[in-house]
Amino acid sequence: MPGYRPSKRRRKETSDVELTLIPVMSLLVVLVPMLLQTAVFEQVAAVELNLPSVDTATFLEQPDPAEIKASLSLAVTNEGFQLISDEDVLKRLPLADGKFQFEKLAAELKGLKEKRFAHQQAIILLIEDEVVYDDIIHTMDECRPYFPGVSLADRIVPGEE
Amino acid sequence: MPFSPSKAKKHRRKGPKEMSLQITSMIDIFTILLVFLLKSYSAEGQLVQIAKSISLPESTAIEDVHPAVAVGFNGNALYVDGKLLIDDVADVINSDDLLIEPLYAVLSQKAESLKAVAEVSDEVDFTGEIILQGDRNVPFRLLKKIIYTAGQAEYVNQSLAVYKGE
Repeated sequence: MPGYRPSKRRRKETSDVELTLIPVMSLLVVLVPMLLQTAVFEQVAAVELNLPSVDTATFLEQPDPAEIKASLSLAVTNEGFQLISDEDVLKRLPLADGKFQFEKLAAELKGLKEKRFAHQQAIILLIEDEVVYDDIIHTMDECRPYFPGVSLADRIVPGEE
Repeated sequence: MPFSPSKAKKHRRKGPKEMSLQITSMIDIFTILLVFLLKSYSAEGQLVQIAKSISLPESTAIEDVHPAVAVGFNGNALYVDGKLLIDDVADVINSDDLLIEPLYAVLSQKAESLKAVAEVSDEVDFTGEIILQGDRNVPFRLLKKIIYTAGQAEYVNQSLAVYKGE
């Protein structure tokens, strides 16, 4: 078969099939604004609060020494974090540049979970009045992977009672 | 001149060429947008309405929010179910009393009416669920009082509303 003449060959190359994209376009033009309208960019989640029940109240009145010994508390104050178990301060994490050291807290909690409180699920946050809500939520976030039962407690300032 | 212009070029010069939009790239953009939007699409929509003046803190929590009584508060005001209840919370923060009287009155009234409905209806139950929507800059002192007040008004299933973060 003899080759095409150059002019003919060229014409064949240029005549490519064109997709009819216009209907797709109109579909997208309708769908995208619709989805944009219904889109929820900031999803709201919930943090469940473990409020002390009546049982805990009686527990507070007649403390079981073994349970007290095993309990773990984290005091959140204007000066930073304090990890407390049975009156002993296990670790102090002071503020750095006016901010809480959340990374160090996470590392500390991980270490405690591995060594001393392997079967412990609960942690009590003792929070001072001036601590900002954002920091509380952040602290609870750091505690949750290691101690899922996070309870909030009012920090009892010594000498107030 | 060794080459004369080709026939095609000669032809093109004569009349306007048929216009065709370059739609392909536009479709690419729209397809990516569509996929992204479909991914973030939730059929439920937003169940709880958050006031614009309240910026919730971000958290890693993933639990879903159930519709319930909502108490919103920031450094200035306190809302119950979107209605302004206290327009200056400074007094509330500074008072020594743990109970916030107006909030207690509204909440216990809501609890009572809900209980009355629960008595005659099988579908409604009083579970004492309440959502606390706090601004991220609120001090714990206010949060504590609201938790206490809600607890006194028999709303014991409390949860804190947060934005899902990374």
